[in-house]
Parts: sequence; C-alpha cells; structure tokens
Amino acid sequence: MIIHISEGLKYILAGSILPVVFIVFIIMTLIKPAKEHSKEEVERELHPLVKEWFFSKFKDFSLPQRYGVPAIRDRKNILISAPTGSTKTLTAFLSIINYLVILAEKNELENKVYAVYISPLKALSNDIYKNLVEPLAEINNIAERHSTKLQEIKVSVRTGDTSQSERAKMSKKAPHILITTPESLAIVLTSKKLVEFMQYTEFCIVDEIHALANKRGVHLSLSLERLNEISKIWPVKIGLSATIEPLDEVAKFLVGISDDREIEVAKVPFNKEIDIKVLSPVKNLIEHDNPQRELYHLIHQLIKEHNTTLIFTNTRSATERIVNYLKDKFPTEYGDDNIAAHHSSLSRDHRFKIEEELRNGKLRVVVCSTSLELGIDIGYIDLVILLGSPKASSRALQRLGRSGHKLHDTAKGRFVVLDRDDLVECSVIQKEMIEGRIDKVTFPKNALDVLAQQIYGMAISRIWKVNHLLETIRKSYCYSELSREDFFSIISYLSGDYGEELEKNRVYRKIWYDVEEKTIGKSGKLARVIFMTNVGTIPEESYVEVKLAPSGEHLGVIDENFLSRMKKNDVFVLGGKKYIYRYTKGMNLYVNSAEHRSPTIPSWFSEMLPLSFETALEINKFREIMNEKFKSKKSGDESKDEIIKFITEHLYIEKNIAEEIYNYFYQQFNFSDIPNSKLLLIERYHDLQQQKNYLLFNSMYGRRVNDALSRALGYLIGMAAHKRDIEVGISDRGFYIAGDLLPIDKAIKELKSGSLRKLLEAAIERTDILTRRFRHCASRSLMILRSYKGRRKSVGKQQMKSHFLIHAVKKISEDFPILKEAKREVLEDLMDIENAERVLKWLEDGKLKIKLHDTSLPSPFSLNLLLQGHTDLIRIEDKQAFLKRMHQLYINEIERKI
Amino acid sequence: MVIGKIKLQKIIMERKNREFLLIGKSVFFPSSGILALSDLQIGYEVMLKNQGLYFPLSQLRRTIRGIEEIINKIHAKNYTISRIILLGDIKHHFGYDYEEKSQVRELLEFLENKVGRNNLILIRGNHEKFDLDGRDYADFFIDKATGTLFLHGHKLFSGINLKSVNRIVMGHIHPAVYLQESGGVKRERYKCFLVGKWKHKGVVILPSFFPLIEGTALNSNDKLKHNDYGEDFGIIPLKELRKLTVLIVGIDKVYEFGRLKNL
Repeated sequence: MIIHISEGLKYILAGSILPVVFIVFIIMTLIKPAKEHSKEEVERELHPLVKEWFFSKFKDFSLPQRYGVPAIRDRKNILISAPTGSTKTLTAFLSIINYLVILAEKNELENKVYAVYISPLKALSNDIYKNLVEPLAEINNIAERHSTKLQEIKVSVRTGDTSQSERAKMSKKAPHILITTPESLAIVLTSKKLVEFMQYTEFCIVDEIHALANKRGVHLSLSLERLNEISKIWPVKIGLSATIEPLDEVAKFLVGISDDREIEVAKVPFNKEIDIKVLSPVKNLIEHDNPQRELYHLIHQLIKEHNTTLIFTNTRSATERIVNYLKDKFPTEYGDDNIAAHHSSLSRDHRFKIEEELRNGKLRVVVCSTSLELGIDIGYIDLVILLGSPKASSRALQRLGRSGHKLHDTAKGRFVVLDRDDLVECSVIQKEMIEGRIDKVTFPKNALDVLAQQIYGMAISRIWKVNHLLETIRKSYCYSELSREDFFSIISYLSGDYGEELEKNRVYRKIWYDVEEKTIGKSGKLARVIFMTNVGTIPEESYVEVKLAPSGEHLGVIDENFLSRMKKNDVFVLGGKKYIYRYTKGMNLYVNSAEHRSPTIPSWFSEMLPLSFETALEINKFREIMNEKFKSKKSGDESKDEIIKFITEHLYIEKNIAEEIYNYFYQQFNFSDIPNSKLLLIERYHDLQQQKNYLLFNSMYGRRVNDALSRALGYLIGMAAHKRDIEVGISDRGFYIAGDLLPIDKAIKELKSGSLRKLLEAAIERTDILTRRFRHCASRSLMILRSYKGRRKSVGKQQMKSHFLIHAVKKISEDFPILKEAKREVLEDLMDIENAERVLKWLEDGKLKIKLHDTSLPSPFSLNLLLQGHTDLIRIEDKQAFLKRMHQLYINEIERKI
Repeated sequence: MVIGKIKLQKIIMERKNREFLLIGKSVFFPSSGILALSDLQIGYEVMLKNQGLYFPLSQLRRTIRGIEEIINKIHAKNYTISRIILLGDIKHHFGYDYEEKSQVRELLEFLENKVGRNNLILIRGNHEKFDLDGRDYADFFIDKATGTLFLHGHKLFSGINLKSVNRIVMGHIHPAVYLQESGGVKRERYKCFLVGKWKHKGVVILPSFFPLIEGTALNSNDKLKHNDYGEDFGIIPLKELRKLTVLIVGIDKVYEFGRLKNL
C-alpha cells in the first residue's frame, strides 16, 4: 500500500532528514527530485569519441541532458518531463551510446540486448532508428579518423511491421539496442530465443509516457515487470514524457512498486516563449449571419501571415471539411501541393508522405485531428491553430509545442473559437497554460482483461508458481492493489473453469492450473501463435461514412455496428447535428438534415475528447466570480467597463473577446442565475413541439463526470417513474434527462456519493456502451480472437460474437471477471466516477447547492445542452416487460377499433 | 396496427379449438400428437469457435434444455407426443464438421430417446446436404389424418399434392419482428410465429429454435431480399408473408400483434 504524503514531506524524506514522527508512513517506491548538473559533470565520463561527436553537432548540453545524462550514467532510474522537441531522446541515449562505445572499443560487446527503447508510436520507431544509426555511423567515422577500431553497435527495430526474416535474424544475433512498441515487447518476452538475449538488459527507455495513461500503458507496466523478473540485473528505467501531471504517479508507473526501488524525477520547465491568443472569427458569435464563412477567412488570413501552419481540429470529419472548404473557397491559394489533411483513418503510407512533405517544407498547411500531437519530428512550424477547444491544458500545451520545435524558440499558437461556450473554454485553458496548471492523468488500475492477456503470455514462457506470479504482477503500479480474489478469478477463466455447467469445455481453456502444486502453464499447441497474433489492447472498430443525399457531401463517420441498429427514417445525432437515415450504398450511409426532429435512436458512437475536470472546475470558478461581479454591478459598485477590464486581465484575452464573454454571461445572469462552483442549476422545461419533458442540468464538470451523474440520476428517475426508460443527453457543460414523468426531487434525495457505484452498475447494465466495451475487453482477454488459424476476423463478426458472448457470460455469473472489467472500464475510464463522487460529496456537505427553475424556454447556457447533448437511453424496462406493455397497447388499439 | 375483426376472431377460434398450440418456439398438434421444431442450427457455436470466439456458449445444452421444457409443458397438459418433427436446418454448416456432427448426433439421440427412432421425423433443410449416420431425412412429411404438410420451406417438392393439404407448417425464414413505441427511442427484436392463410391453406411459420440469434426482422424498413443468412425467402413471397399474423414468443406465452404489414 502507498500512502500519499505532501510534496514537502516527501522531499524531506528523500533528503534523509527523517523525523521520527513520519515513520508511520509506509513508502515503498522512493521518489526524489533529480539534480541539474554542470556541463563539466555531464561530460566528465564521456568517451573522447562521443564527446567529439557531440560537440561537432551541438554547442552545449540541453537542460534535460543536464538532468538526465549523469543520472543514467550512474544507473539511476529517472523520469524526465520536458516540453516537446527538447532533445529528450538524445538525453536518454547519450549515456547508453557512451557506454556501448566504451565496450565496443574494448571489443567487449556481447551478443545480447543492452538497451530496449519502447515507444507507443510505431511511426516513431523508424525515426528513432534513424536518429541512432546516424550518430553511431558518425562516431564510427570519427573513430576511423583516429584509427580506433570499434565493434559494430547493432540497432534493430521490432514492431508489428517487422518482416519475418528480420525477426529470424534477430533471434540469432541480438541487437545491442532494441527499438520496439509495447505490444512487440510483450511478444519478445514471450518468444523463446529473444528472452535469453533480454536477460541482461541494462537500460530500458519508455518514451511518450504521457500517451500511455490507458490500457496500453497498463499492458506495458506488466511487460516491464516481466522484463524485471527475467532480468539477472536491474534494467535501469528511463522515462520520457511531455509536460504531464502528477509526475510522482507517472514515476511510480515507470519503475513499479517495491521497497527496493527508487526513481528521480526531472521536471524540465517549458522554456520556449509562449505567444498565444484567443481569436473569434466575428464580433458577435450569436448574431452574425454567417460565422462559418468568417471563420474560414480568419484561418486563411492566419495561414497567409505564416510560412507553415498546423491546424488541430478534434475530429476526423472536421479535418476533411476544413481542407475541402479552403480548397473550394480559395482555389488559387490552396491545392494538393500545399495543403493536406492528416488523421488516423488515412493510410499509413499517405500519412508518412504528408509528414515527410511537412518536414521538407513542401506543405504550407496541414490540418489534423489529434494524430500529429505526438512525437514524430515534423520540422519547423510557424503557427499552430487550435480550432475549437483542445479540452485540456496538457493537450493544448502538447499541440502548441509542435510550433517552433527547437529549444528556445517561440511557440506560437492561436485558439480560433467556434461558439460562445468554446470561447469561454479556450480562454480558461489559455489561462491555465499561461499560469502553468496542467490537468492530471490517471492510469487504469486492476484492469482484468489486460491481466488475463499477460498471464497467458507469462504462462506461455514457462511454468509459474501462482504466488510468485501474483507477487510479480503486484509490483506493477497498475496492479499493486490487485486482490487475490480478482487474480484467481482470472486464473479460473483462463483455465476453463466456469463453474459446473462448462466443466466439460476443456477445448476452451488457455492455461492449466494445478491446484495441488499451485502452478500454472500454457495449454494447447496454438497458445504461442494465438498470443502473438492477438496481443495488444487497442480495440478495432470499423466505420461507415455518412454522406448527404444525394450530393454525397461527406459529413462524418459512424460505427458500423451503430448502423446495423438503425432503420430507414431514424433520426440520429452526428457532430452535434441531426440527420435522418435515407439509404445505404456499400459502406456509405446517405442522410438528410433533420434539424427539427428529435433523435429516434440513441447515439453512443461519439466518444469525443472530454473536457478535463480541472478545466471544468476552473470555468466554474470563473462563473462564480462573474456572478459576484454582476451582483456588484446591480448594486452599482462596479461598471460594465470595469468588469470587462477584469475579464481581459483575468483570462489574458483581448477586449473584444472579453466583451463577448461579458454579454453571454450577462444574458444568463438576467435570465435566471449563473450556474457556478456553488450552484447547480436545473431547468425544468416542457417542449411543446415534441410533447416531451426535459430536465436541463447545468453541471460544468466535463462529460466524464456528467456521464456518471446523468445516468445515475436518470436511472433513479426511471425507477421512480414506474420503471420506464429514460433518455439522457450528455455534454461537457451539463446534461439533460427526458421522459414522460420526471420525479426529480426524490431522485436527487436518493443520489448519494456512497451508493453511486452501485447505482451506475445497474444503470449501465443494458446500455450499448457496456456491450461495446465488453467486446473490447473480451478481445483483450482473448475470449474473442481477432486473428485465429491464420485468418483475421472482421470487426463486424467480432461485434456479432460479442453479442452472444455477453449473454453467455451473464448466464455463468454477473461477476464474471471480464464483464466486471467492462463495467469498471465504463465507470472509471470512460466515465469519471471518482470525481462524480466528489461532486456529490460537495452537495452532501452543502458546498454546492441545487436550484430548480421551471421555465418555458431554456436559458442561454442551457440551449446548447439540448442541441449538443449526445443522447443515450437508460434501459430500465426489460425486454419482456416491454413486450407485455406493447402488447397491451396493441390490445387497447384493437378494442378501440372493434 | 389494425387487424380485421373477423380475421382476428378466426385465429383466436382456431387456437381456442386447440388445433395447434404454440409452446415456446415450437408448435404442437393435440389431435395428432405431433410436435414440430425448426432451424436448430446446431453447430453455429462450432462455427463461431472456428472464427475465433474462444468461449463456450453451450448451444447444444441450451437447445436440449429448451426442448425438455416444452415436452414437460405438453405432458403437464396431459397430452402425449407421438412424433417429433424437425423442420430442417438441424445443423448449421453447409459442409461437414466433425464437432458439429457429434453434437447433432447427441441431440438426435436425445430426441430418439423421447419418442423412438421411428417417430423422429427429420426434414432435410437447405443446410442438410447429406444424411447423418444413415438416418432417414425426408424432403417433407404429410400427416394424412389432418392434411398437414410439414416442410422446411425453402422450396416445394414435386411429390407434394397441394390439393390434399389443409395446412402448411414450415420454418426456414427465422421470422422475427422489431417492436418500437411510436415516437419512442427503444426498439427490441423478438422471435415470432407467422400464422394465417396462403393459397387458401392454413400456414404456421415457426421461429428458429436456435437460441443465439433472434432472426430476420421482417418489419424493418430495409429492403428484405434475403434473410439474415443471405438466403432467399422461402416458398411464400414476402408480399404474402406480410398478410400473416404475428405471434411473438414471450417467456411465459405467445403474444399476438396483428398482421405483419401493420406492425
């Protein structure tokens, strides 16, 4: 167990001034701040060849290198957090290259892996390879000039793309530096030959850790423990990350949890100049007749003023839309030779080509979704445009960091906002960036699906004593609190023990478990092949293109499975707009706009970027301040100009932007109340046109928290309303609940932080999202194989199978570990139950008050809740009850007719 | 959802007269003691496994348990079962699969134990490309006493004299329907029987007995050229199917929902 202690205390502990009173704290992994070293200290032990090479390339050591190089040389675990493009990679490798050159000169390099480099980005692997092979060649040249003979230092890449013959070569002659991905590392650790080469790994670099706060990271954390476990010596951990918080947790993730482990943390400050601004395309976002047109004009203007511009949107469809629009409206300015879209649905080759052209300065503009946020060197970018809110300060910083891309350069970014809520959001995120506040990441804990996959891999390597297996697993940060119960439920699942009913099914077991000997091992001849071809955690999805009928204008994509649930004339939401299903043709769905109809089908495909909880709270705080300001304006204490001046200073924005915010907030203030950190505003509203009752919740907590709150409340309301289904719509800024009867008072009384988890588990029981996440979990835990007997299975088939599977699993046990994991994933990773509980505690402690308004019109703040909420249905009524009720309706109809 | 008064009463009367009983996903004829089931699709699970669904779904066990429940219900009503007719597509694979074969054999042995080998009538469906273990498969079966024709339903055979037939009992199309409340968001799919008249003969179309999939939703607006298995609809054209009455299989009983075309 780890007990968190405050920053100050920890550093006292680290400095070994240990007052007696603190002994009660149990600390396992020790975390220390890293030291910045002088130039002399950094170069002290550099081999002359390496030193000569380094200074032929660079004037001086960078800040990360001053922290990292000596620490790595002294074999200390270290996490280096620094802005993008600040020579982190060389920081990690300099000491390693140095060490290998020393060995190579003495002719002492052995046939084994000395260092393994792991990056979540496959594309980065080739980059890193180049960036290692070149320096090594250059050092070799220098050596030749000095007539020094060096052994060859071998570098190899092993990813999913590596050919069979190269893999075969690797298993004979070990690369001294192995470049790989988390998935391929697991395969390497499961292969017979390579494991032997890996037993003496001295350095282990994990790059882009900030991209690993997910199940891929969980998977990797177990692979790292597998590496530690087979190693005869401790592989020194070197973590590289962009700006990320909380660093201590990330450090523990990297090094694992154990008494004998310690790690240094180097937080290298952002020392690029930041030039950032919020821009609005028009003066008044609500009254302008065509803000869209002005938006493109503004973008065009910005592009013209700079040499190269990188535009971030949040979605693939927006990416395409912007490229097409610019080409369309400014045909003389933009063509295939100078503008391109870059997103994850494009082919790999196509993306590589765009990256290459960007690096070479051929392209003037690249529009991307999130795909260029990470790692790969994309050359010199003058301006980054953040189109629409990036939803979190860390993401905004990451995107901004793509500009300049040389240490000490100025990073130039412009937020271009789409509507008034976006304006507020972007302004607050900008404030957080300038004031250096970063949202926090969390790693999933005790993920049972990933655990199943890795235990399978471990059992394939050799026979294990279960207790030792559990000990090894618990050293991973993500499993340090794994219960014996959960662990053994996975052993049961893998060994094909599903209770009495399925005892006969030996066919399906993956491992054997000897209860007497307490040992496990692999089962079946295909085990290794199954593991290697199904390794990984990233779920596969297949998409259908949505196009406008009959023109074929591209509108976006929806999940194939979602399409299969729709029928003609269904109305659904895509990208905040409503469309009606007309017809399908191949993998295309043709639709028409249906703005005035309400959705007939819930949508869950829109797993968009959620607003960070930290930013949401910051917005709430700002709303609270504004509420106070307007009150003092009312009493004559403060003038409009004073308030606007305050907004410009508080949010670091220009006057016209501040005015827009002022007007928006003032409208809301005059309408009813400004919801804020102390006030949760609920509006009860009856839509005459649709004959529907709505409850609109102004809860600015981000969609992950709102998802949890809305479903729990919706469930309680549905239960109170005679067990009927309830419709919910969720956004970052709040949510709505719609239905016939909405007994809200009782529901709110029953909604308590202590019972939230139980409520939510019941509320998600029949949702599509649980079925979908279950499919992902089933795939990770190898209940459904993506690849089997040499053939890859289509996602559609996997989806169909998961449908059978969830029924079969529920029949065995509601607590079946993989089902339990799917629920955990929905509650903890997709939703944010922890912070939702915090919000409920504020309500219970009276720090947050609820106010219910009956209104004939939604307030200015609520309007977008209705328009942008992504709807889902909380199914309370079960299939049989629905059948009976529908039958009764039918009988009534007949009786009326006869 | 409108249904002609006379039509409805006639069906109700017919069922009141106990010419046939719909029990679970089966149909039972008290006068002849015939129990008919259709489209068991044993081996579907085996196919899924070969496609990488590495988890047991217990299809065979669930099928056997389902049939046992039906038999118990019939016995509880003091009827005896003289014959069991399987209306084709007992197996799923078009070709041969060892595991499927052993499962089909287990099922047939279970049924033979109930009524005797001679009273288990196996109708050849489009999935039965060859006979199993030398058991007799027929293209159709006519119960002469009642003039009831039992067949799979994918095609008519030249040996059938339709004139002497009063009623057709078939499977093959896996009928199911969607229920959706007008203006509502919720939509669910249910297995159903289709009952009514075609060519002046009584028709009973059975849902698939197969527990894993509901079947082909016949009232979806998608163009229904084929059923879920990509096969053409059977001997009764869709236009005529739409005139039949829908009876949805609930856990406790069947629920009537009027003509398919009105649903």
